[in-house]
Amino acid sequence: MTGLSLLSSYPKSGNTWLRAVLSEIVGAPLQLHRGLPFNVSANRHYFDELMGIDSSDLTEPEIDVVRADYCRALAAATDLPRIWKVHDCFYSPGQDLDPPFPPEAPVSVTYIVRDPRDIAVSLANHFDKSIDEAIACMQDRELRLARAGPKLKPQLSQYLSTWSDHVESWLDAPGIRLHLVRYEDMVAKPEEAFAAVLHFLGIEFDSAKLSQALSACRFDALQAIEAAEGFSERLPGVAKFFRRGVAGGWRDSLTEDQVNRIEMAHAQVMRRLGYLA
Amino acid sequence: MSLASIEERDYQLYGWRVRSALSLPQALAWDGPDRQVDVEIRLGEVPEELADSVLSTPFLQIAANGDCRLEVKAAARYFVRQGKEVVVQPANGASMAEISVFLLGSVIGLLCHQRGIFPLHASCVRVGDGAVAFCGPSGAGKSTMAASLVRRGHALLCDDITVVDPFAPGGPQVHPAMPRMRLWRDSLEALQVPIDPLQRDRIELEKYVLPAKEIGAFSKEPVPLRTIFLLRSANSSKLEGVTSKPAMETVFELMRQVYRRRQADILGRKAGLFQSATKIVDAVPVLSLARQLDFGLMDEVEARVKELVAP
Amino acid sequence: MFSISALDRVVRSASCLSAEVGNETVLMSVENGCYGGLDDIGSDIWRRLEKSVSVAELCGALASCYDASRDAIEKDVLAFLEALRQKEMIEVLRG
Repeated sequence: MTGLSLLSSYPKSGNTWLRAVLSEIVGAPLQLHRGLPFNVSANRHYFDELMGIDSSDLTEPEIDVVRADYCRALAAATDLPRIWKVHDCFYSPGQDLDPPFPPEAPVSVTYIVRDPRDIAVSLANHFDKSIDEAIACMQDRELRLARAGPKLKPQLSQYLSTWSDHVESWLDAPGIRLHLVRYEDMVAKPEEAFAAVLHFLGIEFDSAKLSQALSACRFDALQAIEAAEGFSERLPGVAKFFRRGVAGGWRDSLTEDQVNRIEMAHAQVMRRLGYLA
Repeated sequence: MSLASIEERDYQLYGWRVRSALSLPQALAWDGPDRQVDVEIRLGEVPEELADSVLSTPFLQIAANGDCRLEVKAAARYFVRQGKEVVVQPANGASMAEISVFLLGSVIGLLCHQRGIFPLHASCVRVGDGAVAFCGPSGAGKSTMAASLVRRGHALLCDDITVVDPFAPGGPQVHPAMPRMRLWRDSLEALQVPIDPLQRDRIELEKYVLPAKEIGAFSKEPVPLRTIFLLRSANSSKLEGVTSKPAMETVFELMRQVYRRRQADILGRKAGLFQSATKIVDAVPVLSLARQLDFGLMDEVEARVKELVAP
Repeated sequence: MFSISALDRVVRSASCLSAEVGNETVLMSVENGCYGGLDDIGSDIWRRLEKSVSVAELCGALASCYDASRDAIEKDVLAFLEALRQKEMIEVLRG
């Protein structure tokens, strides 16, 4: 059994950008409208195939209970990719459940963090919500992505918890190999930040190839492709997935009150990551 | 356990004569010739687990001899043997609807692979005198696509699982399943179907059983397969071009659309599925169709389908 | 791994399935799940690999059917066979 490599993050933290660069490095042509390689592990298709059941006929608790088994099956399937995108919290919503990525699977994790003040602005755009609603989501201990509702979603429901819980659940997860990368470093010194991720993942590259991949995946390049061809991971009704892609943009998008609310709620973890003095 | 009827009745499903001790109101009664029963569904005890299993997931076990055991704790245990025998042990308090969801879904898939036939993860509609199948992963819009064509006067053949007989004398053929579809609330709303009178198989989910007669007709007779569409969702608001590919890629794609493909491989069906898929690709165009779930485009989609199905 | 030479014998691998679809031949290895597609010339060669044949014999037979130099044929055939071997679709027996 070989291990799984997870590219994990809270939503809107740069996961897609990282996957776009990786896909360039491994030589997969960038076709945003078809979806990037390194699919989300919560994709129903893989769950249904490996578990031998239709997840669309199961309830959320019935799926939560077997997420760890699903991860083990994913790790054991030699014909499936090793690298997967993840937005789940490391912990399951139920206290007595195994985490969805049990350490014995075994997994190594690249965890991307981003300043929560920037996430709030980006999340509001992504979910077509107000910034105040996005801030409230980031403090919601019950928060899930792709919740069961009136429409079948291509992904299983994923438990996120709050932004702070999400970050700490992964940073302090027992028994996994972890590489932490900051979105701000991916922006400020991309060669260095991406090279470190590639080393961690054991993907071969040379600096020329990396530069080429980075320039193919420059924010304006991804925006242009999205405008021309669309992007399969954009939610319906939202104009742009690749919105701004800057670090520190919150300064001219958030009110003082909004900034205060985020800093109050996430002070401890923001300090731990150097986002607050 | 409270089950109203233990009386056996015969039904038609995918061209099989199915004798069932469980009432299957979603299926049509058998009205064909008095021939041998193909599949028998009865009530009984299903073991805790299978000895010598070669696959074991929290829901499904497959034994080395090909016996399968499926369990959904809230619904039932199902023991599926040799493609012709299903033993059902309902869970305490499970409704008939809950028991039948998995019986008419996963269990059908297992029966197909044990019987050595070719089930596609597809919904299928008769357009003119030919069948059009829409394949795709969950959420790609198979049922919705089929439902909107049924609403437009084309007859339903299968929903979610489409069984193709690649070796039928006149070319690949589709056998009808049941005169019902299962649709999520958003699709029903878009189709403007009143939801209140509809039943749900599982009360926790917004997925409803829609009898075909509510929106159109059902085809009871097998129909030659004319076209397969591979659906993928797109978020551009225009209908993308239908493209066709080299045979190898098409065979590869079609193999990916086999319902419960991994379990088929375990049940020794790799070679059989390949022979079936190549036979189908040789006889029937397989096209990819990228679309948004946008009903404004149905005129265009229907026109395209008719054009392709015309002999 | 050694490279295939004219003296070696080649034969379809037992774990490779093949079927003709239109004027293409589609291959699938049951062992590793690899797929392959052959055009009309590739399909012609594949038909000749049903029983084991030496590469030299194979090239000779092809030279009498196709309008190309023996050298050019041998070069193309060796590359073609190498690609099939990498997908474990043929077996190579040292000559």
